[in-house]
Amino acid sequence: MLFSSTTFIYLFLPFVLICYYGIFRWSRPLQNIFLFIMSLIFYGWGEPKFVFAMIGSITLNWLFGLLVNKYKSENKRNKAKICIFIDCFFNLGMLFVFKYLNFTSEVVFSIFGENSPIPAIALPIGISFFTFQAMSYVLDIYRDRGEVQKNILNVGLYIAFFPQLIAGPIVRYETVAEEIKHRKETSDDFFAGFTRFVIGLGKKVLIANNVALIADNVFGQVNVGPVSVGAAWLGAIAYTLQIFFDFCGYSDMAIGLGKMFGFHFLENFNYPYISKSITEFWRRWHMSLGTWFRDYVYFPLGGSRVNKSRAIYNLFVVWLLTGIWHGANWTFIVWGLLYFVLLAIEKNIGIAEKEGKFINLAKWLYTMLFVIIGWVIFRAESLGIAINYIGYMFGVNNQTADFAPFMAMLYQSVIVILIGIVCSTPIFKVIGGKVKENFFTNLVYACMIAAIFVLSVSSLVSSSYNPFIYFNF
Amino acid sequence: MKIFNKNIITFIIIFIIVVMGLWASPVPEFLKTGLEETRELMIKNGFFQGFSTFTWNIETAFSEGLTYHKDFLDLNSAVQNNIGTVQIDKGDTTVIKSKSGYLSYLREEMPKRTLEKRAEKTSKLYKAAKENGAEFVYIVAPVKGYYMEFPENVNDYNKQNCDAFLKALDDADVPYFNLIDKMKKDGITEEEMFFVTDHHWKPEYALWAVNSVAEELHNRFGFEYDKEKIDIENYNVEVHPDAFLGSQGKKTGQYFTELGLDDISILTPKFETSFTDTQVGKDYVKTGAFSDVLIHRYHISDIDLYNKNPYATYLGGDYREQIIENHLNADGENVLLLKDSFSCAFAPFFAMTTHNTYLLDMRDFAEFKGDRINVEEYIRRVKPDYVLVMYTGVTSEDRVFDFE
Repeated sequence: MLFSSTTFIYLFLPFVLICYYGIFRWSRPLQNIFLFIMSLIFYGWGEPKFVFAMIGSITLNWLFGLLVNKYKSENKRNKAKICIFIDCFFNLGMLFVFKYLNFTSEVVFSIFGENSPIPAIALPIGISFFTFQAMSYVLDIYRDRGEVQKNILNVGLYIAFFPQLIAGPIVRYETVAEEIKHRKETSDDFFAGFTRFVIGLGKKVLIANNVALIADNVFGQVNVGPVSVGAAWLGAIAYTLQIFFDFCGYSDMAIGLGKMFGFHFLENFNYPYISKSITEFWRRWHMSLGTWFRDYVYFPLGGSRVNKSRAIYNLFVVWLLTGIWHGANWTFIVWGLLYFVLLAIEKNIGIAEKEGKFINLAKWLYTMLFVIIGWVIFRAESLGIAINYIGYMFGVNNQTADFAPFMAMLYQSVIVILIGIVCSTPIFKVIGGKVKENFFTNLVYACMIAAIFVLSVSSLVSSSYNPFIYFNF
Repeated sequence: MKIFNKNIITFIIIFIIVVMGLWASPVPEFLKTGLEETRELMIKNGFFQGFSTFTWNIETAFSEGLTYHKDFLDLNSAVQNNIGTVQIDKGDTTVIKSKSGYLSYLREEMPKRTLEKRAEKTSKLYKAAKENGAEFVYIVAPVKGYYMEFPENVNDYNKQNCDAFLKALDDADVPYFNLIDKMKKDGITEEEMFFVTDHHWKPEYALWAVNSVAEELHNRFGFEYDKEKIDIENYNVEVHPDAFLGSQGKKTGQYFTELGLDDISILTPKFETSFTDTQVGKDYVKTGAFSDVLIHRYHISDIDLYNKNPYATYLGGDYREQIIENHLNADGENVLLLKDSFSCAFAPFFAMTTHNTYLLDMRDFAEFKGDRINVEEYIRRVKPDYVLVMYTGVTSEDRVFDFE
């Protein structure tokens, strides 16, 4: 099920809220069980078979959580470490089988000039997210960052809670450990969460879905032949906006929904497209993933508190894994390694310290150039297509490409692209901070959010075109 | 917390909007029908297949069942039109907008082998017709999107598919009559021939097609007919302005094109007529004048843009097997016409030129599930003088070529 669907908005969410705050109001355990069951229904809505993978993951991690806690309390830290190792092995093993086995076997067999004999394996939705979340549970118990849950249903709730189940943010166990049993739902949080949900819905449906048409058009054309410079840039910018509003919109919806039930997830995006360096970009983009790799991979390897070559190696490992996490294709690996190279260079030349009006503009342009190129690699179906596409952006091998499609696409997309560019900046936050709150301004604000809701739902009932990029992760 | 906190006001407004969408809505009826269908499917095909039908039915109920579903469709169409969108994806189909503002279906490239197989099946039918003493012609009905100009970033394969299919018919030695060429020769544009919001031709051009086909059959085989009976000058033309939102418009919303709603004409003869229309297998037989038998006024009696189909005024819509007998043309030929929905407007006028017109629609009909007609046997039984196949463009439905 998607948040951006009328089934969720008109059936699932009202039903869950009515039961949660009505029938089960006086019992936290019953509320948790109810949320867990509804989360499984939410997850299994599109493909019920995947629920078994989810339940298997929950059971496994609950068991290892108990074991790690037991050995830790008995001061048998080595046994606890072995349990963590096995837990990670099973989690990553499951991830490998579902997500990477086909790709790996194709690569291996292609070396021998053969086709892979392994049939295509369906990918459980959100497996990368809930696997990392599940490992976080066991790891945080070991690190004394959260209390072990003896009740498997509470572990189930943490891993499978529907707001962040299929597309994050990756919620660390330490963030919500206390809230599983002892959260406090407030009306402020409820209504603020609801507004956040609607804003996220608008980002996803009104901006992301509309720019996606242009991005898909151009990237589809590139598979067949060259496109003009204008079309290539238009497609790249459209995808840059699509992936941001798609993912950020979904995160807003997730965070908003969590708040409605008393959970406080950490922010996942902080206006990444205003960044003036790649370093800054990754402090603003998909923060839950970045911090996960930082805390569970980078720091345990030594981080930057080691000699220079080791620090670069640690960076390399993190960005290689970041690329791999995103998908089973060479494009994702190259995308991750591109950021490794840029970040390594930035660390060495101290880009962050350089300031000045024109320098800041130059830094922003440099950042956006590489971010956009990175997204082209990320989106392309293969490295060859990515290279061709980037070439077209700079006038390589596309002298025969027709200019007319670019003009047609520009006409079709200019309004939504401009809206997207404006909305990717904190301008509304700045304006909101300057507006004095009174009944009238609150009413205007409410009407604007309601208009976003109405336009979003009207788009949902009209079109079945509702792609969601991070679903594939 | 302030009572008039902006988030509370937001919640109240949206809560009211959500309740309005569900209050006294047809959602319960949608659910009832959908759940019955799900139950049958689960019993027949197992849990998982039934479950996907279950979720689909729920999603349909909570989308199409909302009280303001049509209003929201129209709202979105206005928004999309104003921001420059030219393409709306509906899952099973994509509607595109031409440069002239006409809506059309986006067609992907058809595999060459598929088209060759269809031509082979048509060739087999042609031989069966000849063996049974019938003349045969495949009529290529015009298709919206063949000549129409679309924005340069839209890759529509209507024309390419059509041309490829014609080549396959040539290679299979199937005799055909290309109305697409004829319309160009007669200086008719697609914007004149087709509705803005629907994929069908206007009734006036269905009558033009009847004239063209009758003339062609006369030239090829000496088909005799009374030209006066299919001359538009001998028809009353009753125009219903802004009465028709076609199938493409129903998918996108009525404001997706600036050209607005379609007018639709009801053509009825000024001269005396007498027909019997039989829908075989449905216990339906009606005898009377053209206007009483072949025009079904229910579809045009009042305007209901989303729930009625005025095009179905002609012939009442599509039926699997239908026989139209022209009592005032007893010496006329007997023609078997394998049809799609374009013949709804074509067949009533064509029946003016024949004695019996046998209509077979090879698509699936729920009431005849699993029961396919063998056209070759049908030809042997009915013994028509002519066998015509008339489809628009290149349909995505392979089964309409399953003649056996």
